[in-house]
Amino acid sequence: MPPKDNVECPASLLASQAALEEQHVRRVYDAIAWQWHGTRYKAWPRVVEFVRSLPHGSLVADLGCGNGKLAPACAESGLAAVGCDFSSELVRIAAREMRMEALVADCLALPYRDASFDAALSIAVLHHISSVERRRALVSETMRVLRAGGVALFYAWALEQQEGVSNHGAGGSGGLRRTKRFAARDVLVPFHQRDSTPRRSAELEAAAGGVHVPDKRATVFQRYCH
Amino acid sequence: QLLTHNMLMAPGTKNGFPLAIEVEKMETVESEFRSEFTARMVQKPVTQVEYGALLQTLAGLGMDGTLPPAVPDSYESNEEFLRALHHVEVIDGTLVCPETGKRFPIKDGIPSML
Repeated sequence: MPPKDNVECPASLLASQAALEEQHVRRVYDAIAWQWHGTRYKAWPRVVEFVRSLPHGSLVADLGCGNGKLAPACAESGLAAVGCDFSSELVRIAAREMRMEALVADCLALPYRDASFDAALSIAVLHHISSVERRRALVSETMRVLRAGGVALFYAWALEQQEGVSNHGAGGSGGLRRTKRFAARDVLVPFHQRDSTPRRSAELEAAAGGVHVPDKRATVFQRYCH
Repeated sequence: QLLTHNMLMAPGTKNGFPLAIEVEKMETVESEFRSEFTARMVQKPVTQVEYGALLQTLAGLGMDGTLPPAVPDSYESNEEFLRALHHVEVIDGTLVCPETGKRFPIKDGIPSML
């Protein structure tokens, strides 16, 4: 359910937090979906390990499935996965390219009945949510859709990440090539979409506030990260 | 996929399920069949409530005969039935919340539940 109104967090502030995520998360992912898919196809080892630990036949909710890169691992482990994501462009890729059963939804207001899943995945989602209240709401929503005894994996970037370490598990490969020390708790992280990327949409790029940088032969988008 | 419909609820509601299905385009698809998954999904009681409506929809689309006239008794282990159910996919249409009447579009097999 969406976060409750309280004295510390009035409706107007919650609305601006949602607007931040709309502009700097959803619209950006819609604009960069194809290049994102081309560069983020490898599922992270620790996440795959978790997927493999689930009992055969488990119903799994991939909450924030992105391009559906966990679909192959879920299928190999005999799991029934249903993915959802805020970005309709990414969901389209998950459904068509990765053959995932996927739908467009908001992780803070999930379209699933209580206790309908055996397991839930929240991979690289929490760090795109712009306030404590909204992050708490995401966690409660995730728990709501899990049956009693169900398990959830939350996996996200942290301010405390060590510089130069991208420790996704065995081998350490996959994920960012360069890990920065973030300057602040809430930042806008640039994403460069190359001019040469196929399937670009001028409309989606404009809606996402992309700025073309001729020197880099790319359009730069600002992604919100906590 | 039709079976996913079983878990769906209109977001922000307490009892916004089962969502009514208005079909514009439906397909029976040849997809990898996993009987355990299908049996698990079918176990949820919601499927049986919607079965009559589903048959009507299929008939309306000239797809009678895709599914048997009634849910078989031990449907969880009736592989033929599970297989038939598993392969039914709504491509274009609308899901309607029984509580609020809110409409959620399905396009190219993807529902938008925002």
